[in-house]
Amino acid sequence: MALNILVVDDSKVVRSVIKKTLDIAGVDVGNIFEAGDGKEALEILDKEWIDLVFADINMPVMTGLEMVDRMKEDGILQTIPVVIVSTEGSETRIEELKAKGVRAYIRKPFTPETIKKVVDEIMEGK
Amino acid sequence: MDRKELKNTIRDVFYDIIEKSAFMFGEEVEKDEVDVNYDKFVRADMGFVGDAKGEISIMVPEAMCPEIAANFLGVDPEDEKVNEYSEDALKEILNVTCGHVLTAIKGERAVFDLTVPNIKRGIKLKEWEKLFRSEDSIVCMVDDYPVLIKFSIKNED
Repeated sequence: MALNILVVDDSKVVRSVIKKTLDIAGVDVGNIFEAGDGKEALEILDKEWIDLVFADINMPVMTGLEMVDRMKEDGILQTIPVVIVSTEGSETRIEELKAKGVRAYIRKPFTPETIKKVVDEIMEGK
Repeated sequence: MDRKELKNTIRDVFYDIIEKSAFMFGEEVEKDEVDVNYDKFVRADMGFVGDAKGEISIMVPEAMCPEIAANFLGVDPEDEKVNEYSEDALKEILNVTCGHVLTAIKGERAVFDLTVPNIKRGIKLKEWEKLFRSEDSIVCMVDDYPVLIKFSIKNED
């Protein structure tokens, strides 16, 4: 099944690298949507069918954590798996993210293998 | 961690990040071995708060930014996309370096909130030399480009 993926990061270069990495990793992608912050992401989520979200934490306007909180308030959006892709290595922060319902955490810099493994695990319902 | 260990940690983290992200390679260098043949530089800055607070900056020759971006994107440095992405690429290198440096020096239980990186272009050689001479700056050499890093941290009581 081709996945519609939303990539949320204020860095254009990171959005580009994630898109390229998904391609290299062989993930079956339908449409890819991009947002520069959590607010833009929520607007896209409101309009488009999205299967999976990759999001950074530290972004202007609305952070990734605030975006996840807002998604949890919506009956449909709370079912969409969110993968946080960030530079932070704090176990405390990762536990906090998992408690909020974030499905996986990928630390930058990442490899295509890491992205593929996470996507496969989420899609297989692990 | 004393100042020398801190500087070595920051340099090691930076070299690891730029190698993994942009496929550019750092080399051991002493300050007096660095020859700077550039007249314009770019500086990226960001701060952090949490279990400690502080700032980190990276200053590089302007000519290095398109190479970082091209390597990030896997395209030729002359590709038309490169200029559009070059500031972003330096900011991302700083952002990732900051996150990994904080884990390296404060451990995996510490929590930080990082600010969004800022960029300043058109920095003149005089300002580069001022930072270069500062005891706090860390000098690196990446693919023959000189790079300066400044890091300050203050523990929260």
